[in-house]
Amino acid sequence: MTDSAGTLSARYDAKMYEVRALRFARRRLGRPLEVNVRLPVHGVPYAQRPELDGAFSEGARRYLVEVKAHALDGDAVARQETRARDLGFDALVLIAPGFRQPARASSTTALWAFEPDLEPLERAYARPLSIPSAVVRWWRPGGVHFRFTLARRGGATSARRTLNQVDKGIRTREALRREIARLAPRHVPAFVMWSPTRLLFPKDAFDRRRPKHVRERPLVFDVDGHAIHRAFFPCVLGDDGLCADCIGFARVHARRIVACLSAHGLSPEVFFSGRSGFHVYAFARIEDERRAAILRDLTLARVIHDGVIAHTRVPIINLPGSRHGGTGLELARVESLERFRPSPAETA
Amino acid sequence: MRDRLRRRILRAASTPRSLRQIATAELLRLDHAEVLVRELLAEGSLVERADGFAAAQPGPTRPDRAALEERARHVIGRRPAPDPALDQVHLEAPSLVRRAEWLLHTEDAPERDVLFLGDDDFTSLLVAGWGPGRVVVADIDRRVLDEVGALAEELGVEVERVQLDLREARGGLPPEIARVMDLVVTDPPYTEAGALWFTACASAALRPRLESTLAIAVPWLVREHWSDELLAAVQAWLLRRGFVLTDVLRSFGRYHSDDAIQSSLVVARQAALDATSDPFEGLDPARLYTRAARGTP
Repeated sequence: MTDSAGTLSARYDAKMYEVRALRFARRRLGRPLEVNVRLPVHGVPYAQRPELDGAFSEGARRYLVEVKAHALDGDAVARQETRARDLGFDALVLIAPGFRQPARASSTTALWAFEPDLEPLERAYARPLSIPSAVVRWWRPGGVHFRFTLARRGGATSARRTLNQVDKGIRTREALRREIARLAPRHVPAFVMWSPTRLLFPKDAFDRRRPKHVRERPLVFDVDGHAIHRAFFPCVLGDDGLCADCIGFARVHARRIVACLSAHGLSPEVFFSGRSGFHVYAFARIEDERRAAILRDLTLARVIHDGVIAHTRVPIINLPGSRHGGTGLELARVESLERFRPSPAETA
Repeated sequence: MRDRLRRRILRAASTPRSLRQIATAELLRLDHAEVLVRELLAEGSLVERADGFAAAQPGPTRPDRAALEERARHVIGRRPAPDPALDQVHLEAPSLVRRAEWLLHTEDAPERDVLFLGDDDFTSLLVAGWGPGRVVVADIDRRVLDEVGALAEELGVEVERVQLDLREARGGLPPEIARVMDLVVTDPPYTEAGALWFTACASAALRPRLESTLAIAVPWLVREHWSDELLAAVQAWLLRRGFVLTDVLRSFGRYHSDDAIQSSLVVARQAALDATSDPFEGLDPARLYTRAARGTP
């Protein structure tokens, strides 16, 4: 069963496309959908177990949902069917931007062509971004690094997947918008990222092998609810296309971080991550000893966060005020973790 | 797992408790407790009061030890005489009550579908009737099944019965117990072949879910190496088949036996799902019982 030919030349940002395709599947199925499921393989560490994009049951039948961000031909479809069978699933739903003919599928496989609507993202990036003022204040002295990934590539262009800033001193919201428009005039970003570390040369962040001359760096924490809970409860997309557990667990741990930072005399700022958690910043000059004390206290308080973001000298993280390419939600400032509810997405 | 945790929280909150008290009582991680408590609050199953969180409605009760002892007194004299050819040895009354209490309180037996793979002790009769879960007894001995049926009727509880010779189970278990049970309890024969074969049958009855649990009573005697070796063989088989051992309750069961034999209860949870391989591979059901293994009549 093939819905439509779809666009065969399109190649989407894989992370963005997967999130959108799974939200599309959730809407189309009209039932809760388990996503990013780790297979319980005996003797294999959790992080190394095969991950499925999605899974659901209908009666006694188990369905595997697989997402590919590029068009598939018959051989690729056949490979996915074999994999689904080997994993013990009764049927397969394969989602891709298009299927090249002849893409024959067996009776237990459904081929769903899906193309995300990027127009709302284009609109959002065509106007000045609503970057929270605390963030703009931090980047005003210069030295912070920006980059973004493209939502869609291929076709007539051969633009790179990730574009780094060219302007050396982005200090205002408008300068960032201009930079994005200049670097990718016919494209829309899937994710806009930054490193809040103030560097002597922001371009040093382009390449991990280059030495980094750090002027100062704030504390940054990425609390991803997905990483906290999915070993115990699978991620299940609800009616709003988000997993309630992700927000619930991330809220608990973000609150612990806020309490710890406040106890150390800092003023934490919390931002929604756009999908499954929160980013917590402490925009301040923080000496190494104090930083170490805070991180130690967080460990003792059993806070779960992304250690790479918190410990690395030049963390790269989605920019507050930008849009999450997958959900279309804004990485908005969170006034109150207790009352936080994700606002309805502008994009699917 | 989520449903079980929610039920446990509601049970812990039958008297008002703080979040930390709930987490401690039910051995939950604090963030899990908080997320689930919020969920229960949002749907009105829990209420927040000045003295803590409390269940909005009284939940299902669990029988206390006195109730189980009373039931044990009722059933214990009616157990058919043990058949040595089937390695039947009866549990002593305190052990019977302890096993039932553990199944009811620790393993949430009332809410789960429980299979007793062999039940000449009548543990099923102490476990039945306290919740919505199925209680099924599969036994080779017709006398056991008939008496369990009669007693269940007297007690007003439902116990399903299946006559089953596990030596013929290689082709698969009957559909009413195959891959549909949440918890399987078995007290297998004392031979290695018997213990492993019963364990394999028990695993074949489990629902293919990560929470599915086996409870296997393995004989244990101080300074008897064979019992250690048998315990090791059972554990090795379980680990090979993707189970994790969550508990080994030493000397958990004592029996009416001249040998003063005891049993350890090995508790294993399914940690990996493997629908393709055969649990009976490499096992031989020819000589399951001790007498058959020794060649004595």
